[in-house]
Amino acid sequence: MDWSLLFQSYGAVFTNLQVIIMTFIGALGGVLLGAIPGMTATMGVALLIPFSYGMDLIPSIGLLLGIYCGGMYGGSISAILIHAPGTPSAAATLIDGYPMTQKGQAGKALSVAMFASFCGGIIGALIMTFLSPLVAKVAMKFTSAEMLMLAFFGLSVIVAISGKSIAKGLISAFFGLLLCTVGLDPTYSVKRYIFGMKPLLSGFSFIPTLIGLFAISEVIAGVERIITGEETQMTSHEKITNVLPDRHTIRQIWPNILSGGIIGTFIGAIPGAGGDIAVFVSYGFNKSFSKHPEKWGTGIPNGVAATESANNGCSGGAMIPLLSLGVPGDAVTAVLLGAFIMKGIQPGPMMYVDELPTVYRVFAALMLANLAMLVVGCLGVRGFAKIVSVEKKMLYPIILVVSLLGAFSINKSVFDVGVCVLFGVIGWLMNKYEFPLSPILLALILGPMCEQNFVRFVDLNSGNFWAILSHPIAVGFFAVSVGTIIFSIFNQKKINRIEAANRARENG
Amino acid sequence: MKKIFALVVAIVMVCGMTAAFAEDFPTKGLTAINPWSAGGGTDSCLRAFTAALEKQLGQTITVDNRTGASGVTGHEAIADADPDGYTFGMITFELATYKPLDMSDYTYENYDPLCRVNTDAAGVTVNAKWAADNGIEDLAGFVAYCTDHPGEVRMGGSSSGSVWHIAGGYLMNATGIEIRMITYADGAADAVKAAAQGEIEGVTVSLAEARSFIESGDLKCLGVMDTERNPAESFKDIPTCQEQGVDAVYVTQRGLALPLGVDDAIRTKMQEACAAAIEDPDFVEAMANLGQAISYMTADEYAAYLAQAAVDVPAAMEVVGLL
Amino acid sequence: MQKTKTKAFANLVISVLLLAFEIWAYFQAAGFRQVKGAYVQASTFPQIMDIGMMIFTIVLLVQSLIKVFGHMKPTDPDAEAAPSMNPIKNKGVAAALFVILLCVLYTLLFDKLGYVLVSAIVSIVIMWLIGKRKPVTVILVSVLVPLVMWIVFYKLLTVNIPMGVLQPLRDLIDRI
Repeated sequence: MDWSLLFQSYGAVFTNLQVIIMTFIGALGGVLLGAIPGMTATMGVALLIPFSYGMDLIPSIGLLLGIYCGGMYGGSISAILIHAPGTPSAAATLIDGYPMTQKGQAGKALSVAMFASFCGGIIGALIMTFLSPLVAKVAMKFTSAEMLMLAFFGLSVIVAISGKSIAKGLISAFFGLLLCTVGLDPTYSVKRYIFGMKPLLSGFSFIPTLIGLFAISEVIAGVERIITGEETQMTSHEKITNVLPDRHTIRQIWPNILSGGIIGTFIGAIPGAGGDIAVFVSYGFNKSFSKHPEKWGTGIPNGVAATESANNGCSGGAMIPLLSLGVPGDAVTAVLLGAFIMKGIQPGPMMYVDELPTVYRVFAALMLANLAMLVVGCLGVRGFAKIVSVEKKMLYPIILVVSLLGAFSINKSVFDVGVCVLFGVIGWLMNKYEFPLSPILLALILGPMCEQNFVRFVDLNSGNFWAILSHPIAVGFFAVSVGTIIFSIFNQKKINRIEAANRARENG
Repeated sequence: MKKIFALVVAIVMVCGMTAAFAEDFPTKGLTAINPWSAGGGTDSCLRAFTAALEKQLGQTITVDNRTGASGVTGHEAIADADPDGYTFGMITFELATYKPLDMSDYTYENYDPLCRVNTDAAGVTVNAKWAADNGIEDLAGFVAYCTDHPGEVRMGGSSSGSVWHIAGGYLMNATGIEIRMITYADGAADAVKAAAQGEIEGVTVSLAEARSFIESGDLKCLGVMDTERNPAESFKDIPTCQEQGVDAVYVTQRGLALPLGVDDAIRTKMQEACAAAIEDPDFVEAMANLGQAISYMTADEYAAYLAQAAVDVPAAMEVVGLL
Repeated sequence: MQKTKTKAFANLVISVLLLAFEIWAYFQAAGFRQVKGAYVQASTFPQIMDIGMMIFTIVLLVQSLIKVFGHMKPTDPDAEAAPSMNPIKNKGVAAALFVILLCVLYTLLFDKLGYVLVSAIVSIVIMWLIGKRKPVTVILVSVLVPLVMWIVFYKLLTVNIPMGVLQPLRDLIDRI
């Protein structure tokens, strides 16, 4: 570690006015974009790349990283306030974030999300600064076998987020896994479940499905509640005196933030696994080790902290393979890779040899981007929280038209709007009959990863699946997954017992 | 009589309008449809080219990313666009695969090609350690090894049905060897990483995509499937396959096309604008930075090239099990 | 309470419907193109997932059978009344179905009428339906929100959203 070069680089970045301005613009844009359902950080980065053509490398990277970090936090805003994850990485935030809003703690949820995002981002940036070569070496050990078992490990979290009926949770999960086989198969381009609909060749688009399952279903259910008179207007009496969480809350959530940040960074560092997986793993992990697992999902700040720190930790993690291997860790870094190449710098093993100052400046820029996100977030919390006070009778139609636009804009396809509506109906029915939605989502994220790596692994070993036993990391993941499943089943039994006891007390 | 007169007047008016229309073309902004997503290789290439084209035409060009269904949506949107000359698009290699895969009824015959903009050649790149262990130093050595071990060598080639996946089929057809193509649905970067890890023996992707590992020495490129060597600093010592006696030329290509039925005068104007834009210094510099080669073809050359690809590509697809 | 009105009975009906879906999906997969010499066929993964879904559907089926035909404690959460799906008896369900119908129409008319117009119409109808009846506010909000969203997407993000019959508006904005 070259300390003087490190400090020099941080100094150069933090005193460069152009970099600071660009990063703040990026963070502001990212938060706003992320908050619109359907507009993801990936899209924001891709759209702004042409604007960065004329700039120097570091200001343009600052701009893009600002969007990246801002977008990660921005996604949680709509997840918390209107049950519509702005980005896939915010999908787990709504499990606890939205119930907090319903309890009238929208402002608290937002500030916890922001604080956790910031801390997670800093954890990611620190790990990236000091452990990059080591993490990259571990990431290089991940071949198809390890990826397959990592996906399986991710899926094992489903039991923990299934809710009270594990059978229903697993039905949802397998339904999700079946859904992601729609389209051309990834190995021989065989058509599966297409029924002559061309847009289905690439399967159900993920974002319209996500928006449908969560946002549209919530609108339908909301209209239903208003008509039957069950909806209560939230007049936010919550006074937001301090935009950051108070000391008591921080003391309560710091273990979740720390573990979330670390989990996020490491999962983000594995190419092919991103924030969307990390948030669920972190949520499941933190819930399993909590003293009060029965409170998770009812609107506690711990749930928000565990997921938000994970997805921002991911941004640091995803930069590691990008810089040290030239392999992007997720969709956003794939676009960032293009930005580096455009400036004539090829990220990869040689970058640490030839371009060390640039590498350190990128570290510093990521740190700055997280700071910028915190500042923008602090300024915004009060404003964002006001959305909740909008009359519900007006809010639902607004959510509907904004969400459907988001679904359309991904591929500019009306078919996707239809997909979004279809999954809105499915989500509404599932909610009504108490089938949990999160497993379906996790299955949609992990399904392709699971199938591709399974088929590839078997192909690589000429049909011998048991060759997986020669991959110790994969076997380790498998063992942990089985452990997680068994533990989660017991945990759920305990939760059900506690709830039954509570009900009995209420009744009698 | 009156009727005939009216008809003549109408015809003259319509002709006059079209003529005036073609002369003034373009009088408003144009749209360029891109079947691939924003931020990708095709997108950077198209955006750089439309920026140069804007200078020639004096109107703004909006890039419209119509993604989905493995590019089918966007390709069909170009062919189905209003043939007024204001909408054109970028067609890519994948167009030749849609009909054989029964994904779309559209072929190159549904387009009016404008020009080819860029090509990128596949390279036969192998894991350097594996090559050293088996004494493989050049393409001949590789071919000899594969002949001795049929069906054992595993090569990665991006996602299923993609240009680099089919590259493996070209290689097999050109050399008569038998290798196993492994697909990496997340893209070429994933395949390259797997080759560097030693999970597979090599890749048939472009040099640019394997660059970081070729530079670090983890991967070794045995031959480029192109007619000329790649002029970039890191690649200029890599011989072509033809130099080594293997006649395998395989490139992915990107070009512009109009829908069928555009007025001749407008088409000529667009072709001229493309020919001028390709020389634009800003475009040349942007492409150099992107590591993409400019390989211009006129409309007629491009049409002949597309017709040839429509024969060659399905033959290679059959070899890799896509058909 | 009648057992046919409990959640347990609803689960029973759902699991039977799901089983039918799963059997259908399994045989659909059996018809996929087979690739010669492939170690894993394209139909393998979907079929395994389908069987997984089937197993847990059968678990749910058995659980609910035991509860419906056997003894069920009154405190069992599944002994509660199942949510109604009858739009004639339950106004809420009727409203929800109406919103779904609106969404379907929205999709069908999206290209023809354009985003702004179709959104404004749907938004006005829903607000009216759920009891927001101040004409000025309703129309103002319903028109302004899609319009502002459209301008943001079109101008700032250069994402072109169809305007349909309001196309002249786009040309007007282009001029400015």
